[in-house]
This record gives sequence, structure tokens and C-alpha cells, in this order.
Amino acid sequence: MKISILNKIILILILIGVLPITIFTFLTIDSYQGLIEKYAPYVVKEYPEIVSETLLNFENIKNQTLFIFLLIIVFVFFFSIILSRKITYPIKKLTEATNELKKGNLDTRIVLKTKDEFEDLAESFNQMIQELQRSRALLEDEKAVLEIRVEARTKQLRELAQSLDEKVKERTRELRIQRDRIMAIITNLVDGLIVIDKDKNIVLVNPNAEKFLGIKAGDIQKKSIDKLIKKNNTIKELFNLINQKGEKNIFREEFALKDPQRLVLEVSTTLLETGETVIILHDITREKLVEEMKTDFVSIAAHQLRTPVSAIKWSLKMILDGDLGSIKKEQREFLEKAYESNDRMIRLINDLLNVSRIEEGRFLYNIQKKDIKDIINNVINRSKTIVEKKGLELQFLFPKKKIPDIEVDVEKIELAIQNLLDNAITYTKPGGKVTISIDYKEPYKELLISIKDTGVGIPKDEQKRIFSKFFRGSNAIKIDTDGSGLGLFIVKNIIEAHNGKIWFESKEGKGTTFYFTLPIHQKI
Amino acid sequence: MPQKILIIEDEKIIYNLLAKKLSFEGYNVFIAKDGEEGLIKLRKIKPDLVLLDIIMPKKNGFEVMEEMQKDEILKKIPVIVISNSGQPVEIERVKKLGAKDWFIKTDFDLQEIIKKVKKQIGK
Repeated sequence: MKISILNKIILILILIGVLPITIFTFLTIDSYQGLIEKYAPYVVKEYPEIVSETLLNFENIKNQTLFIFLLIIVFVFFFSIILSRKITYPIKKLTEATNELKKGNLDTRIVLKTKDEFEDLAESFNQMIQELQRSRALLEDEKAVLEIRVEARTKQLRELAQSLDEKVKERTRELRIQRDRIMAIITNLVDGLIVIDKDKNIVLVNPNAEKFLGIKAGDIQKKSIDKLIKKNNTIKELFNLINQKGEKNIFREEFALKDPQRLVLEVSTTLLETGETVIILHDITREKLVEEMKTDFVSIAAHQLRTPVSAIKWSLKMILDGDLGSIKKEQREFLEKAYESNDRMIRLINDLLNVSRIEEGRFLYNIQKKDIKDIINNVINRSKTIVEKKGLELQFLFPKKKIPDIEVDVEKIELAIQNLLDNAITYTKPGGKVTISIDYKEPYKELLISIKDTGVGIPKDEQKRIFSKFFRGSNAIKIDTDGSGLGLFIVKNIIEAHNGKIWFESKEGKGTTFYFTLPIHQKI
Repeated sequence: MPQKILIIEDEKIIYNLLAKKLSFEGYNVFIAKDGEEGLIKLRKIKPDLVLLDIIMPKKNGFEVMEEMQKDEILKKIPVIVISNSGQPVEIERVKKLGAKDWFIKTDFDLQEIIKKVKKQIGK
């Protein structure tokens, strides 16, 4: 139960003010009554009027006392209220202000002009609130600044997140498109494709690889090669081949599949940076078949074309050599012409067959180490008769320093040099000069060979086409009608097959110089 | 005793010319007109050298050499291939089958062929 201060004060004042007066009054009355009772019998007898007067006085005293008592009570009430108001008013004010403060109203101030401790208290209270208000304001300011900053930063972050999100989405989309594209390519690739990770597990097998190897991707995907080798013979053979060649290198190798596929595959592998190996299986069954057919065709064609001319050649030679008895001078002359014509025919056939072989891209065959001087001397020896007959000067220049042996397909290089020399001889007028020279370019490990003539030259507007198949210079046709236009085409192919280069310098009417380079070593 | 040379060649004029020239040189020359006959004569004659054509009826030159490889005695007989084709694949094939030499008829005179023969078995 709460008792207000006012009530407490009233109660205390009553206790302090009323109680002693009451007690005093009753005690006074009591003592008067005692006196009266003691003296009353005497007085009554002698002074009855005093008694009644005294009794009346007593009544008056009683009334007075009651009056005073009531008055005191009224005063007590009155002063109590004033006093309590004096005390409770500031407290009430304080309470109110505190409540206001509690509500958050910092504008609350206590106005007390009591000129006592309460006023001091109120003043302190007001100062406190002011302090609070100031610090609150400061806080508010800081908060506001912070809020602005936070908001700005949040906005920035949100924007960044958004743009990042967009970028990620965009990139993801691009990647997906790329992946889809790559997957589409891989799936529809005519080649078979197998990818192996660095732990030798099969990661990817495309439909054509499945078809070629007669396997199901599901059966081999994510499985290790070592296990698969034990189960599947085709895979075993394939990986034996790859292991033989070394997975690290890029290589191409034929891989013939037995029944039921009967395919010839060209296997090539590439090691990726990720450590994965990509195996590409290219179906060359058709090419192989065509190649075989071509070989057979060329073989038959060669046989058919050469048999009669070789029969003629040998027969004529035997007659000319006198193996079949002596012949007359005139007969000899005709037979020699026939022999030469036949040789021309042979050369033409050879050129044609060479072209067909060059185009198959398998012309280089027998690489040997040889002294280039020997090769050139062989060619020169073969042409000596015609050079002398035509009245040309043929010079062969080579450095004094020893030239290392060169790795060449001797037959082909002889053919190339022969062709160049034949051209020089054919297109140079009697009295002209043909010079063959060798120069060893040591830093490049290559030979530079030139064949220079003082012949008719190549017309400027025809120079670009001079190495084309079946092309013949307009001035060359007039001089020699039986050329096939294949010589330089063959020469170029031979030189390039040896990783060499060929070019020329020519001035119509002045002469031509053909240059070609040959590396000392051939990379195979 | 002259050395025996077996020519396995289907073209009459070619084997005639070869036989004539080789006979002049003092060799004992035998002729087979196709691969099958060639194998029979190889076994019968056991020549010192074989001049073998490639494109022939019945059995071609490759088949003859394959058969020879299977026979311990025939395997040792030197073979010079006389052909009119000379593609690298073919040359490679006969070299694998043990041919000593290869020439294209049009590229050589008979005189040069004699040289090749002499190089293999002497005179």
C-alpha cells in the first residue's frame, strides 16, 4: 500500500500536535475533576452557586478545549497541506520531468523557485538534461552522418553486387553458350574424340569415338584406362600405340581396327595444360582405300606405259650395241634417233608418273647421306654429250672447304638437278654458258645451289606461273616443243619436300638463274 | 659352272632381251612366264639370282616373294625386282620382303642391268 507524503505528514503532525494537547487537556480536566471531587462536598454545601458556576466553567473549559482541539486539527491540516505541498510539489515536478524524460522528451525543464535544495536539485536536473540533450544531439549528428555514409556505402555495395550479379550471369550465359557450342561440335565431330584426365581416367568420349571403337561411352566414362585395357582389346591396342609414342607428344599414327569395324584410324594426341590428354581418332579408311586404289592404278598405268617403251629401248640398244650383228651407218643414225625419241617418251611418262606421286604427298622416300658434289657430278656426266654437242660451256663451282654430307633422297634430288640442268641446256643457245655452283651456308646448316644460264630467260609476265603444273614459257615452247611443263613443278615439289626453298632471277634474252636451298639434316 | 639366273617376267620381248643379254654375259638363264611358273622353277632350279617382275598373271611379284620368304632355301636366293612401277610403297614392300635391288626398266639400259646383276652375284 502506497501512502503519499501528504498523508504521512498529516499523520505525523497530528501525532506531534494533536496527541500531546489532547493528553494534556484530558490530564488537566482529570486533575481539575480530582480537585473538584475532593473539595466538592464542602463547596457544595457552602457555595452551591460556585459549584454550578464551576460546573459551568468546566463545561466552558471542555468546550474551549474541544474548540482548540478542532482548531489545532484544522491548523494541522492546513499547515500539513501547505508543508507537504512545499515538499511534494518539487518532487512531483521532478517525477513529472523524469517521466517526460523517460518518454524521451528532452525539452522538459523544471522551473522551481523554492530557493532551497529543491531548486538546486532542479537546476542540476536541468543541467543534466541539457548535457544529455547536447550529447544526444551530438550523437544524433554523428548518427546522421554515419547513416548517410552507411546509406551511400550500402547503395554502392548494392550496385556493385547488382553489376557483379549481372556480370556473373552474362559470363555464365557466355560460358554456357560456349560449352554448348563446344559440346555440339564434339558431339557432331566426324572425328572420334576421347579425353583422359591426368589420373588416366576417361573423361569424355564422343559419339564417333564410340562408333569407331565399338564401345558405349557409359561403359568407359569415368573409368581408369588400366582397368579398361584388361577388358577391351581394342582399347588395349589403342593405348599400347599411344604409350609407345609417348602421350606427351603430338603424333599421328595409323591404327587399323579389326573386325567388325574394319577401319583405319589416324590417331593423334595432344597434351593440354590441364594435364588432360585429348585423343583424336580420324577415320582414314576411305583415304587408305583410295590411296591403295591410286597405288594400284599408278602401278598398272606405269606398267602399261613403260613396258612397250622399255621393250623398244632395250631392243634398240641391243641393235645399236651390235649385240645382234653389225649395222650400217645410216641404219645406226635412224636407230639412234628412234632411241632418243623413245627416251623422250620415257621422260614424259616419268614426269607424268612423278606428278601423280607428288600429289599423293609421298614422294620423298629414301633419305641417305651423300656428298652433294657427287650427286651434281653424276648429273653433269649424264649431260656431257649433249653439252658438247650443243657447244655450251658448263662450269661447276664449289667451295674449297669441305662440305658436310647432306641428307637427301638421292634419286629425287638428282631428278631435280637434272631437270634444272636440262632446262638450262635446252634454253641456252650454242656458245652460251651454264654454271652450277654450291655455297655452304654454315650458320643456317644449309646448302645454296644455283644453276645459271645465259639462255632465253623467262618473260616477266610469265614468271609467276613458272612453277605451275603444265605451264610452259611462251618462248620456251618455240624452242622445244616436246616439254611437258612438269619439270619445274616437280623440282619445286622435290625441293620443298626436302624443306628447301627455290626461287629464280631471270631477264628475257639474258638468262636465268635458279637458286635452291637444302638443309643438311632432314627432320623426319 | 655358269651361274643360274631365273627371269620371272610375263612380257615376251622383255624376257627375250634380258635372256639374250645375260646369256651373252655367260649366265645360265631360265625363264618363267608368270608367278606360279616362277615358284615351280625356283624350287626346281634353285637359281643363284632371280630377276622378278611385279605385275604378272596368276601370281604377282609380291606373292612370289612372300612364298619365297616361307621357304628356308628360297629365302636365301637374292632377288632383283624389275618393274615398271616404282612407287615408294611398292619399293618399301619388296624391301621388307628381302629384295636386294629394284629398278625401273625404262630408266636403265641392259648394260646397266648387267652391272646390277654382277654386283649381286659376280660373274
